[in-house]
Amino acid sequence: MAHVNTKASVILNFLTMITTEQQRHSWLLKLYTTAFPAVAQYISKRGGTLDEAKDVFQDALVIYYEKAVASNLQLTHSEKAYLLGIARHLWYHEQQKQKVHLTDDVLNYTELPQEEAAMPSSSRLLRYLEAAGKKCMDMLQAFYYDKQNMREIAEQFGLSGERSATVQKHKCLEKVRDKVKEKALTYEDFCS
Amino acid sequence: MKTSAADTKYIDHYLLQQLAPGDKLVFDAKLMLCPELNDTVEWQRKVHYLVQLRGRQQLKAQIKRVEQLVFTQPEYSSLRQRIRRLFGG
Repeated sequence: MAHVNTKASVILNFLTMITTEQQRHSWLLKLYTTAFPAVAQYISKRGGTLDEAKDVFQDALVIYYEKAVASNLQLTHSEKAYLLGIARHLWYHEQQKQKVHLTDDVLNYTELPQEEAAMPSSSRLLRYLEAAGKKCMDMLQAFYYDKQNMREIAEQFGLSGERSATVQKHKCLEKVRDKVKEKALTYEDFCS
Repeated sequence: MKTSAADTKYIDHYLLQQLAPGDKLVFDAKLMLCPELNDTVEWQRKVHYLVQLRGRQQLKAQIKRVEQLVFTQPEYSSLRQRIRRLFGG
């Protein structure tokens, strides 16, 4: 049991060190070379194509990253085994969806937002926000998506400390919220 | 109605499900009684959604770049061959 805990804590500690794009790139590259062959083998044995294997692996990596940074992940096996498990689940649901054309529950399982449903308005808003305040969006993303703490955010954005980062983050949140409201109300097709 | 910094922070705790059950109940009641506050909460929820969406889009783009690297760079040629053999290539 101690061995399992140690393995999990090593993985989580590694993830807490991912605060830059370069660090995340190295982490993804390592997972691609170690875990993708096993996922590809699994998909190929079930009649899938290489492109399908790539798509499944991409989704598995997204799920793994999001769960890991949210700190609610308790690994009892290696990262490779965990990714293969997610990939199997995704593949199974993809096949079920194609067979019976039912509404799948895989998005509930993975807690992915249903981005397609709101894409036209959301992508337009994101483009606008990118132009209006990229730095604010980067900071909000570091906090809400990458789950970085205020110390890490202060370092990354060149702020004097955690308190300054907290104040700045809230100012950004208010600024972006007001911009979304202002912009969204000018579009007739925007529905939240 | 101008939303105070304290309100913005409190709404964030609400959206991130960090309020105590009793505080959440009180806040839910306030939302029913105050449409303006309710609107502000919904706009803030939308920002959370957009930030998540942006984060995920950037992660997917980065994964694609890594995939591109693995499937084009010479140092990964043996890995590529191994994978392609699985699909009869």
